[in-house]
Amino acid sequence: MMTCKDIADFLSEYLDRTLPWSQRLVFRLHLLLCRDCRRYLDSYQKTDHAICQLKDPGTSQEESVPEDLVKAILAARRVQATDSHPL
Amino acid sequence: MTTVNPDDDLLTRMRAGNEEAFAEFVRSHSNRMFAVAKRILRDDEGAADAVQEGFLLAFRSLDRFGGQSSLGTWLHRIVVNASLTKLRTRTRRPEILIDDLLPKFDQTGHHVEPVNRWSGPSDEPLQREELRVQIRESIDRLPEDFRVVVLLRDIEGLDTDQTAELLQVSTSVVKTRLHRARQALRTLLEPLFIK
Repeated sequence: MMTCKDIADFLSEYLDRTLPWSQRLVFRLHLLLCRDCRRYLDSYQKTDHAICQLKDPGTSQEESVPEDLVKAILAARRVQATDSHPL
Repeated sequence: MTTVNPDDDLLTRMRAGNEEAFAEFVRSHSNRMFAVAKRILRDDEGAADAVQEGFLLAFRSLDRFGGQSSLGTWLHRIVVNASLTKLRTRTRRPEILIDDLLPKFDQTGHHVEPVNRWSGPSDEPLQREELRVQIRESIDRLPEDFRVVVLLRDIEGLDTDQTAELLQVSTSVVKTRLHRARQALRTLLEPLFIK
């Protein structure tokens, strides 16, 4: 018999579908009978969804790099290149 | 007809030491890399250092880049690693205990208090932006070990294996930390969602 604590502990495995089928069945049965756990599952999924709204789109322009930093990186690269290939 | 990968041309020019190619590479990726480093380190100065270190390491390693991913993805991984290395050297700030943010159960394993019903997120743009700010602040309140896992897995989009490798922990530790972090964030975000 699964308790509410077990449900909370194994929530992520349940959602990732990595629980063995027999445990998954017991899990679903508990959810069917327990309003608190259904609500907990729903709020956990909404939390996950909310966090993923912040996902880095890969072209994020939210931070504009100071031009000085760009120049510093390029200057450091030139020094690095000179150091590795001295005249 | 063969498609030319823009990365191939840039890579060839950088490997040949073309100055303009390096400038193009830095300018096209620096904003995103700065945002990534700042999310991990939470300050401009540290982020700038990590980004510079990341680019320089990438330049030194250009000959070893095998093309299994895009140049941007490869650089992202390097900058994340540089940021994490910097983070490890810092003195830890006072942290709340993760256990204080996890759900509470009685001796029989039942919820101590009734669980509140949550509403869906608002469709109103201003409220949505406010929610994003609150989520970022809540992530920042998590203990460092848990905050970093959420950032790498849920925000930076790394998978469990990549996260484990970068953090030098096992995949099961990553999974456990991520689950607890989500549970803790659920607790922190609850006031924004309850009806």
